[in-house]
Amino acid sequence: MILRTELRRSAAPVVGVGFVVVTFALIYGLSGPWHKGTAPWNEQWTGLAQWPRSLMMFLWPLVLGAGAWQGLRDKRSHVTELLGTTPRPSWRRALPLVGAMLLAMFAGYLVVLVVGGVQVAAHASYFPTASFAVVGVMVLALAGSVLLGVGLGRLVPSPLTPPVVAILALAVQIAAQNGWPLLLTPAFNGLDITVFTTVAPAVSLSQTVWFLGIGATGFGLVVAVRARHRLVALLPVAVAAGVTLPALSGVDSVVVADPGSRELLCDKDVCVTRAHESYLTTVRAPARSALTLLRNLPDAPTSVVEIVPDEGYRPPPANVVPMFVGLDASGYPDSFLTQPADIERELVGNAVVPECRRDGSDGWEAYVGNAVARAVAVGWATGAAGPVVDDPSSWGDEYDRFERAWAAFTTLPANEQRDRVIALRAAAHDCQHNLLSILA
Amino acid sequence: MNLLLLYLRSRQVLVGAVVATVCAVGLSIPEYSSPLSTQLMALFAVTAVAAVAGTGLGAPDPALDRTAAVAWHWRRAAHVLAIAALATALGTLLGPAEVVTRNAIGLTGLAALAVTVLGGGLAWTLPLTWTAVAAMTAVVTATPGAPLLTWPIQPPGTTAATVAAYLLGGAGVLTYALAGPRVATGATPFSSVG
Repeated sequence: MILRTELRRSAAPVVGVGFVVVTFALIYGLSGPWHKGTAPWNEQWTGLAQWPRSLMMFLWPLVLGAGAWQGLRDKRSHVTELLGTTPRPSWRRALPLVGAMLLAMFAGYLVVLVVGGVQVAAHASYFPTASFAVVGVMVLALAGSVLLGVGLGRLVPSPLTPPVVAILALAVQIAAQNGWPLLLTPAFNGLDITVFTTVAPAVSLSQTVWFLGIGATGFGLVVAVRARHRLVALLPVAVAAGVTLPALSGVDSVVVADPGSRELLCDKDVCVTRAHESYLTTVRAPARSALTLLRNLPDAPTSVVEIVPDEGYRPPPANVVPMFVGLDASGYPDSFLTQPADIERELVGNAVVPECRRDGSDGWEAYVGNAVARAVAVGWATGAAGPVVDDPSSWGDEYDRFERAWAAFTTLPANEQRDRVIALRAAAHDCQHNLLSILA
Repeated sequence: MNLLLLYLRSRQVLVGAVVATVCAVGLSIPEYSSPLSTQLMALFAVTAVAAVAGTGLGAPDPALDRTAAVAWHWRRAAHVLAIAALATALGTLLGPAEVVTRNAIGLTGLAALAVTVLGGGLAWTLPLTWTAVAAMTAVVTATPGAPLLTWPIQPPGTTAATVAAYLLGGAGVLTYALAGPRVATGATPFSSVG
């Protein structure tokens, strides 16, 4: 009865609806990283679990402020003494107050999960069990924010509390952007979100303890009646800090490799990872036509395999064509190729001039030189009329270099061209730096 | 006691200004690791002043105030402009003057709008929500578009952003000056507790 009134007439419905509206406004309004890479929020279960955590970055301070607003209601309405005359202990009276806010938050988060989940279910079938831990930590973080907010509102019942608390939380979020302090906030670094990694179980466990501590302290501050109780209420967060801070500060990588997502599913000579199972039908035909084009090379490739380029990646043996889905050879997010012609061109390029994991230390000249070499080689292999690049206009004036290299290449006799491409292929397999000099 | 002192006391202007100053100065003390962090902290400092001092725009008893034979319009407008000036002054501790002025005017206008529509206690909602969404945009893309919406984080000299901020500021000053803070009816979820 009281809960129903609270749900209708307090800040709870605004917080729940506001959370949904702002989250979807951010997701659909910004062309953010949650649409790209290997784990978009609506295409992979991993992405659906982790991206809302990343989006929470500047939303949890607002939740904290709303909780503080809810918490200062009783004192500002001068009814604490009146409510204190009821024959119910403080914690029973607090339950509808915080319960309404918590229900509204969880309902809002559930809406986000359902909308994303429906889209993911249509797209991907790989479900890592670590996603449960990530979602669980999100739920605890939301609950902790609400409870801490209401507790702070009860502690300092001034109308200045909600804005001050929210601004302090925003400042803390910015100050904790780098390194392990980010793990103490509900937010999650978007760069860590790929389908081939999951959050380390130790990190999820530590964060669970931390947010449970925050929530318990918040609830303790809500139900505290005397100053002594308030001091006792600080105990859970102190204990949680003592346990989790040493654990989290020693973490060197928040994410660990996920072997389940990397298992290869093969259809004779074309293999994709389990995470990209649905991509197999798209890539099968272009991959086979690419292999057909390349069959005249010595040591011709016989299979196309999706590879996850970790640290220390080097190109595979010449009989395997590496394929990168959703990322490039250096591990950065890249767009999914869906057109058969694009996929075939990419695979021919990967076979003739396989890319190595570059850290960018070679500089712009080497980068352009390698791209020119690759474009000329792919043009030769596919029998095209010119150098083959994805988007000539994106190179601007540099595109002249592609055309000059192609013109110089085509003046050579046919077997000289073939020898140069074979030498280029061998050099690329060894990750040599100056590929254009081999071709020219 | 004359009207000005009574006004300052009833709106708790001193407390609001002191807390706002402490927040802004506190944000300006640490060194920040990246230009983005510094830009966002400057934005948060201006938002802090607009939201905290803006809470004082809500009167303890707006209905009673309306019965007074006092010309409220210019007094309310002066109050809002004073908050904008304070926000600008404190914001320049952290950011360039042009950006800080634009943000201060826009965010104070939002706070004044929030007070007119929602009441004094909820003055922080509009500025903080707009800031949070704008900050998220700044983190996600290096060159955010839609300057009419993301004006707090646009670089200086972006005309659309300046226009949007000044429009919001003007709308806030006008609305608050003419309509005043929301009168608490007590029957709706957001009765003013300021």
